[in-house]
Amino acid sequence: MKIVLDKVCKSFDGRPVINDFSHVFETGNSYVIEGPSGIGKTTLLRIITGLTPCDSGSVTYDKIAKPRFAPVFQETRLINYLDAVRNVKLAARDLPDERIREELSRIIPEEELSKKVSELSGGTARRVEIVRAILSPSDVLIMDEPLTGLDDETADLVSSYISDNIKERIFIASSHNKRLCAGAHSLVLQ
Amino acid sequence: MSNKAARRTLIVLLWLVLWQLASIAVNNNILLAGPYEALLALIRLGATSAFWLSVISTVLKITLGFATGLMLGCLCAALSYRYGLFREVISLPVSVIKSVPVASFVILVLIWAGAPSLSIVISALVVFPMIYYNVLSGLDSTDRKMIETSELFRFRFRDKVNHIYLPSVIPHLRSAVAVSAGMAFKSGIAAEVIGRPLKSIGSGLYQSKVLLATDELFAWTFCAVLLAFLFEKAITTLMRRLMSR
Repeated sequence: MKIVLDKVCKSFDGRPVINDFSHVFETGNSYVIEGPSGIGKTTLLRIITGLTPCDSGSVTYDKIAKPRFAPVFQETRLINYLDAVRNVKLAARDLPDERIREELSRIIPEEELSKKVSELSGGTARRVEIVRAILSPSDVLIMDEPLTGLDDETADLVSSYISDNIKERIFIASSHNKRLCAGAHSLVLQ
Repeated sequence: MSNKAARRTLIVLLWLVLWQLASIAVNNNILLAGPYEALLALIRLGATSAFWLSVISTVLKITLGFATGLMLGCLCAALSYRYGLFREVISLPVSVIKSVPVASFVILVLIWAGAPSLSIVISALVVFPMIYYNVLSGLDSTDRKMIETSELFRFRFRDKVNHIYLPSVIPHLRSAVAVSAGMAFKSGIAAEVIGRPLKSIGSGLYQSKVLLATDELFAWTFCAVLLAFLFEKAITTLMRRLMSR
């Protein structure tokens, strides 16, 4: 599968954010979008997922009408009153609880799993979101600054967890952190 | 009994004593019957089957009207949230229902449907706009980001409703239900006074007016206030139980 962005432009209040951006994203590959804050990385990710329409240019999906996206947004987006397992289960409902628990415990301490996510630290909640995206049946993994709020050791653990689980999907992330997917294609927004 | 409850009981007793003293001073039961006479009237009425039939009939009809208004309000709010055109089309009738005096509707319903279903229709009409506006406002304030997330992850419809929409709607719905439950009862009985359907609290109130039986008027009024209070409590407790599951 391919996602083809052709001469994509996007402005907010007359200020151009994305200008003539073209790229082809292919299954099995990883892409890390880099660039300074405010350059339009999040906007580009939202355009790829179809959440934000572009002003001109096109986003087309090859061999599939509309791919299934599994996102990790810049800010936490979990159901606060549910625990980590229940949150992941909503997006990966075919998986048994035990499998979800096992997967979560690879990057989150076991004792955190039965707490409501509102009681978790920002970094732990972030990891719950990453596992949710990884376990969700999807064609494209989209992660906006997934390593934000993680210390170096945890960032390494999470980064290798992501790399090990991309499988036959397209992985697109924005990140300032060089740890994320060492072999990924780097796209620098200027 | 706590201090607060004891103080409240004393205050109620004080007012009852003042009412009784005023009644003694006026010395005319048609102008002002006292609480003692009202209590005697209530006991007298309570001993008749007609009284209980009236109470049961009124409560059932108003409950049915309330449930109808609640369901229609929720359904129309959901449709308005989903379909912009539906929202535009329904906004005028809802505004009209909200603004037109209940008495006008009572007369219309009497002409169209007759007295027996009067309190059902009127309590539904009073409840409907309150529920509609509150549920719609709850839906409109649902977190857009969580809706986006649930759509990308393709949550089941049931999960979307339970975990994304309901947490936003419930506080609005709860307050609307608490207010509209009392309103349904008051307007339903007011409609019965005008329409006088057989075996109803409203009819009892009207009869006491015709017969200048002020003691019975107070007895019926006490009964209506008590029922409205119990109805509101029952509905809000039921809501709280349902929502906490």
